[in-house]
Amino acid sequence: MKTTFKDLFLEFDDDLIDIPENTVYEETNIRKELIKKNTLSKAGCQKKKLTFRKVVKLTMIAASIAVIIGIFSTVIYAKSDIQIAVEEFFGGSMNSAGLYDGGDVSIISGDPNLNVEFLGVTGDEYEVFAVIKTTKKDGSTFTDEGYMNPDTATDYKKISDYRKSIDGGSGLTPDKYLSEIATFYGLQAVCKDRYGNNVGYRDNGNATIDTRYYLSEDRKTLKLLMWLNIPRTKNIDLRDGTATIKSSSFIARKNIKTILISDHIDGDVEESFRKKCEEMNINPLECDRLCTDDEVIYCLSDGREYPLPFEITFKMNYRYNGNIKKDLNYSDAPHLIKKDTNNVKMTITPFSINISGESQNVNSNLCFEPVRNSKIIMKDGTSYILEYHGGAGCGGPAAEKIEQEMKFVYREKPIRTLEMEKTLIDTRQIKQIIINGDIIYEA
Amino acid sequence: MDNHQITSGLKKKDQKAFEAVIDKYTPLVAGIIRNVSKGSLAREDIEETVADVFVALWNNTDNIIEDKLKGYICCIAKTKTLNKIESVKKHIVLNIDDYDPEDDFSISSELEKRELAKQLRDIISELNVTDKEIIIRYYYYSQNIVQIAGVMNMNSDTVKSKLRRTREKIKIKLIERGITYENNI
Repeated sequence: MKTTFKDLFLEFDDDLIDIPENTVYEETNIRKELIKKNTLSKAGCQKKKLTFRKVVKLTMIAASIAVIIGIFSTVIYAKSDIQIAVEEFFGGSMNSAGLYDGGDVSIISGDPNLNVEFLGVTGDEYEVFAVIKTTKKDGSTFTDEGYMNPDTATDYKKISDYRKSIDGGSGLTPDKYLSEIATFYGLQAVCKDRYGNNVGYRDNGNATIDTRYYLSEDRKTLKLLMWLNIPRTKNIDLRDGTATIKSSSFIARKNIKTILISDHIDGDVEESFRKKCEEMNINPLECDRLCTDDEVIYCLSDGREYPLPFEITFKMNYRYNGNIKKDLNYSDAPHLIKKDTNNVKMTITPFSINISGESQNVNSNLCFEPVRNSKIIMKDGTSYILEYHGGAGCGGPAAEKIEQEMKFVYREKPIRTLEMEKTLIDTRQIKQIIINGDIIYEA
Repeated sequence: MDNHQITSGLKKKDQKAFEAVIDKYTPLVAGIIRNVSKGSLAREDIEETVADVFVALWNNTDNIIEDKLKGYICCIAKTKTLNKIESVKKHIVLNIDDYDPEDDFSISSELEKRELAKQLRDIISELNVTDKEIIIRYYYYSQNIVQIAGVMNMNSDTVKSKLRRTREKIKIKLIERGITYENNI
């Protein structure tokens, strides 16, 4: 068991740690009343639940969302053979090894003036990607002038620099997280099993959903790539169940003041950005960081919310016979799995590698070591970076155990933009998977 | 409400006591989250984590010990912060001055850890006021060297050397008390 010097200080009596509180922390600009209300709500002491979302200036350009959602109208059905429609989002690397290619799909537009066109869907046991295109029937724009980039202009994000690891190979995982996927507040997702039971793992029974909004230059066409994540750790079987994504609105942003432009991200650029903020008396946490292939722009922006009401439902008839499952233990991967971690399960899918584990050592931070040098080598010699693409941990002293799951996607090379496009692999062609120097899978 | 009333109220699931503990400790919890996350969490993440801390406290009121309420809350705050950092994929940017390889060492069992924590409590209680304050600020409240120097009107080098000397002092006293371990402090 690894214990740090700091851990030992957690069990002290109050009188020993009695230092004037206003000197142990800097005043934090938090909304105390909101915290209190939300805490009481979460603890079940209050009915109404509030959120901590970033405050944006709302400019509702039509009737209220509540009214709009009440008048759902157009229904579109599509069936099978539609994978090709989403190939552009996967760099043309789509394969059909067990992928879900869409069962019955229904789309309901919530605005009589909104065309919602279904472009395609794909997925597997754990995730579903769907693409739609929307336009206004009257040909009007979605946003006000200057309000663009709804997919990249998210809240301020720390995007660490990419550094190839020391052996300089092309198929290596960058040693810091890179990709930040914007979670959009205007979307909700609900998964139901074949019996109609909700199987989400959030408090409210929802599944997690991410999206990318691609607004055309004339602001008249909006494409959405929606990405639904299905919980892995709860042994949920969604076959013949349904996944429903509900959209209510999206936020577009306008760059108000550019603070810094750089062609790369590193500690020095971050420091320059912070200094500039100090000089300009701007709170860096209020800023956005936009990444393109060529530059990184730090700026202050204004966000406006626009209604986009529709609902899309998929029948989950995936086959997922392309997935590989394997149980792991400490001796299989001592540089990845912590010694007291057990029940480690790995699933390799055409989209990603997913590893989960649990530990009864509640004083431990997490179940896995940080992942650095990792790659997947195919039988033809091609190798891909395994890029850390999200994960979650829960537990702590108050819990019975710690659970952690990690997800890696395949990349041909490190990228720094906020892209969601992915590389798919044919899992039948995998030769070897290496994480932190440990061979965790070999065909 | 004082901590005695809050603790007994919490154990009875009294909502007023819960509100009192939220009112009393929200700034401290937010400050600890900020210290531990080294500024890597946005305000909304800090707020959400503060709420998670108090919900965890509410769900574990049986575990509260009266004279350790504040410590228990701090402990939850640190754990929840680390979980939050992981969940939002943030990296803590650590100042090189604050990196201390001697922070890590191995203890083989919970029993050893508890015994060591008890001995450590006693030894720290015996330290002079300044040394005690520095080490509590650094290790307990996760303040960095610069922050400690600022609030204690010292320069950073002084804080660093006092920290190093105090740690050495603790090490000697632990050895005197018969505690030895591999890779120790």
